[in-house]
Amino acid sequence: MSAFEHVRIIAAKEIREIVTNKGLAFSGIFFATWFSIMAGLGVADERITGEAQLNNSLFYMGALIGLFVGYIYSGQTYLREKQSGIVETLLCAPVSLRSLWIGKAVGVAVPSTILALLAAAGITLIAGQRLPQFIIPSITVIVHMTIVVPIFVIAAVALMGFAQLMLGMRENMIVNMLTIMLLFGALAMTRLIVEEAEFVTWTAVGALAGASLALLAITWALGGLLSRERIVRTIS
Amino acid sequence: MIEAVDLTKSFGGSGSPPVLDGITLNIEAGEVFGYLGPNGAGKTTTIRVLLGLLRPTRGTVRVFGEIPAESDAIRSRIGVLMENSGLDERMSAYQNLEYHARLYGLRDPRAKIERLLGFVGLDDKRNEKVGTFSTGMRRKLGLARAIVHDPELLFLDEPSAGLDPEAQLMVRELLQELAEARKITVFINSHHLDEVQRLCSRIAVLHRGRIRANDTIAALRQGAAAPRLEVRLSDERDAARAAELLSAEAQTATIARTGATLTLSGNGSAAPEVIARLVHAGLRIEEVLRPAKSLEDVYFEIVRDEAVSA
Repeated sequence: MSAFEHVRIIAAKEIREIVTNKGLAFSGIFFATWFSIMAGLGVADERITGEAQLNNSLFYMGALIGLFVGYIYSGQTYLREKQSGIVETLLCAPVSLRSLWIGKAVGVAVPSTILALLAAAGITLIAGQRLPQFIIPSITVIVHMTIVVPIFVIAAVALMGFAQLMLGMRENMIVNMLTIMLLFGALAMTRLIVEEAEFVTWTAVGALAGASLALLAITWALGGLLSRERIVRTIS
Repeated sequence: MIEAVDLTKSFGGSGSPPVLDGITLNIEAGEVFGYLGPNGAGKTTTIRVLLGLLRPTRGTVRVFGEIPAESDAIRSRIGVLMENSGLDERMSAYQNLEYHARLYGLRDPRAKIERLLGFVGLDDKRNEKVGTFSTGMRRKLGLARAIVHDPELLFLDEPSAGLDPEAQLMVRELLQELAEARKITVFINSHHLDEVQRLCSRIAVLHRGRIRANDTIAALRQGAAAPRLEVRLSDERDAARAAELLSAEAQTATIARTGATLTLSGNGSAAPEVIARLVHAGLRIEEVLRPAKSLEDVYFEIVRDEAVSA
């Protein structure tokens, strides 16, 4: 059986679990909806044009919502299975560690990205109600949302999954707290960043795409450090 | 099938005491092998090393002739039931089995899963979430999960842990059927002596990281200590006289008297000679017994001896 097939089976299981678990699905939908309403209501013709604000907002919030939802789901995917000991049984299956890790990352990244895209659509619709006319996001933002954000989200989720598999429970708690602080700090800065000046250019999109690809490459390389022994020894 | 030579595993620095210390095991195909030991003896660590989840600090381990930590291929020939059953509580019984069947490469496992759910008596619970299951039901489903890919070798870590007597019996019957009908080689970690005695053809007793005994149960029961003989005489006076007589004549037997019963142990307690002497002296014998040691006796002799010598 190929590694790709294993990734597909694991990803499909994780997606199904996120979609069918009411609590889990709701938490992602709630945060995506909440942030999209807040961001959409914030778009207005003030310091910069409403169009520029919308593009800024989609660029910034799209990635941030994907990251936030990915963070919530990855905890339920990697960490929960580690805490409950299920991961030990999975490690005994004829599946490579990389397939297990990446399969879960794909399973988390797909619903997280879909929610980020829906949130972007929500921001656009709400902003359209507030501005004098309905504005369609620029082509750079559309490219950003459909290509760069998925790469960014899967790289970030894979990195979070790597940390959750590698670290002990206490270290994971500390990392979780730091991640939450980072995410909320980034959210708190939204208005400051979005309303100051138009910054969504091909250069910005290219820079974030490059950074996401670099993060993906680094995370992939870090995957070489994963070992069954390390995971088993850090199970609670 | 399983070969471990001088297997040693330490966690932490070089000064830390080994969790496993020089374990040597050889388990043949078709055996049901019981691995006994108190909590913390190193049983789960042994299973983890044999499964390739941990690497030995010293010594070699081979399963199906390969080093388990370096071979993903042999994992498809092995089934595992760890102490937590390895089931996802958010998924139904059927979904759990289907997920594992697909990970092990089964293309269309539906019929197989239905059969297994029937085998473990959970066919009416197929669509219920595992989170609603009792410990016994989880254990049975975990067993079905462990054999969904028809493994040649099955590792069971405390299969009856946390189960009530009825559930223990059910799990034991399932394991008996697996071992007898399907000829699966089984490695059972347990501290349930009764379970091991009923299921296993051979056992090893692990204590403080070392194997203290490794043989068939019958051989261990026979050879664990010097033979014992119980002689019940007609009354206490005869028993006192018999003790006096045997003490004077027997060279190495230890004699203890409780009421009308004498207990002789060690050399010099051979039944025919003892009976002949007593009859010759005119003493009336009511009963002569050669009580067999239970596995429990053997186990506690080994564990306590080691505790004393440590």
